[in-house]
Amino acid sequence: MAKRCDKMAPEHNVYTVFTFVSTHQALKAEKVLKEEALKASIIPVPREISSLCGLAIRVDAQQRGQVEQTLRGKGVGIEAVFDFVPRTK
Amino acid sequence: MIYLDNAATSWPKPEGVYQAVDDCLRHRGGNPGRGGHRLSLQAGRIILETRELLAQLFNITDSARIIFTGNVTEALNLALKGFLRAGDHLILTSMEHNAVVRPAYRLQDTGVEQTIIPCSREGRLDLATLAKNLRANTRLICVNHASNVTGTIQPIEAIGELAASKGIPLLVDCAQTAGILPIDVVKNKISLLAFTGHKGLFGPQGTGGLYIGKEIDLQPLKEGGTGSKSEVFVQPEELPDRFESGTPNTPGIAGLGAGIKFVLQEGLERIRKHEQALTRQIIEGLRRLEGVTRYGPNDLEEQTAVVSLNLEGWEAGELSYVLDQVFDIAVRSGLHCAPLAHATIDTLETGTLRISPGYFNTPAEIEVLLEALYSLVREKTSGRR
Ligand SMILES: Cc1ncc(COP(=O)(O)O)c(C=O)c1O
Repeated sequence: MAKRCDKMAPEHNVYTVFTFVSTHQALKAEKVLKEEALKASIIPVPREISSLCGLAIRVDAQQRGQVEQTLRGKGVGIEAVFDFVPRTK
Repeated sequence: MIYLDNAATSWPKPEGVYQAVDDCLRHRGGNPGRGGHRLSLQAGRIILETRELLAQLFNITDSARIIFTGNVTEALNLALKGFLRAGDHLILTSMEHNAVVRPAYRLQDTGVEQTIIPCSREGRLDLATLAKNLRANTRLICVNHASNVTGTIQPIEAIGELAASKGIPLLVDCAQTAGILPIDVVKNKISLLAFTGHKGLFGPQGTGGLYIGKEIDLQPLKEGGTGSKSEVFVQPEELPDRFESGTPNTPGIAGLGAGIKFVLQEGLERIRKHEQALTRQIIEGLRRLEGVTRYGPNDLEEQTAVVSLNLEGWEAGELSYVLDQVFDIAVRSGLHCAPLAHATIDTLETGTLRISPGYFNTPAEIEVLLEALYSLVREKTSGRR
């Protein structure tokens, strides 16, 4: 089930990271989102998160809801969802 | 060379298969699921795509439930040994390949009981006999969808119906039928489907796999690196990782994906029709020959493109040798790794000559084969005079 880190308000340059239970699910997520024309990139799991699988999907935070709905609709095995604010200097 | 041994392995392959293997090795050569660089992702995407194509072909809802193995033999070993426990009863048929018979025989050492249902001389399984042999502890029914010896097709839909009505999972070996006959795990109520990649699916050798239904609790036969959950020592629970330790045959799986695409493009019906036409041509041609004993059902609808025979005055091995050496025609002779099937059709002593045309064979090639057989018989009879 999805864990949420909703502490951070979705601001403009906030992004969301989806982690998955296996490589299969991460790559399937990539494929499903591409088919739905939703912008997403596959990235190594950020260090601050622990995940079953080394690959994650990064999307714009504003797309979070739509992406999550799409992935769940297609039965993709999401492990957790995290919102990120890029570190400022 | 006229290749008529497609029941052993299909050849040639569709052009796209050669290209996919080459492209994979040249341009997508990373280790799938191990690391996140682009070459590794490319490899991972190939594997995902082939899995999804298989899911489409067999009507499997969740492609993660399809496991890649080296061939159907490995898939059948996993299904049988990963599922059955001491005290369980297994039902199989006398038309099974050694890929089932031998693991099942070995399982008897661990306390698994088994019943081998004898099939008719045409290789058919009788449903009433199957029903009669069910026991309270029957935990699995294993059926070869079509025999590699006679081509006999078993009624898997009716078998699935019977198995499901008793709550017993059905394991199907579709080595001879995948890519040729429709297989639908939902409609046919199949809980475990073992396939090989290098026959009707046109993939390279060394590919195959197992579909594992949600209702099946299967133990892996091997543990190891999966690229996931690396920090823990226990094997992950998630499919497909649970059963896919070790680096897979990515180039082979790339080729398999291209093979399945070809099958889906051509369509099962068209492939089947073509193979049936060639089979009919062989069977009708053989009628003009004296001394032919043909095995299997006498109905093209009830068999795949396999013609098994013996020719009076010829030993099957000798005949296949002459066809190869003198006429450049490849067919197979012997026991075809299925001694129980040969016992069923009463050819355990002699074996059979097996002619198995494929989608790329032509009527002209079949004519050459028939002419070769005619001339051999003519020679023998005139030599006797
Ligand atoms: C019915 C059947 N089962 C199992 C096998 C074994 O296939 P593989 O050698 O690909 O494991 C074959 C083919 O040889 C077969 O025809």
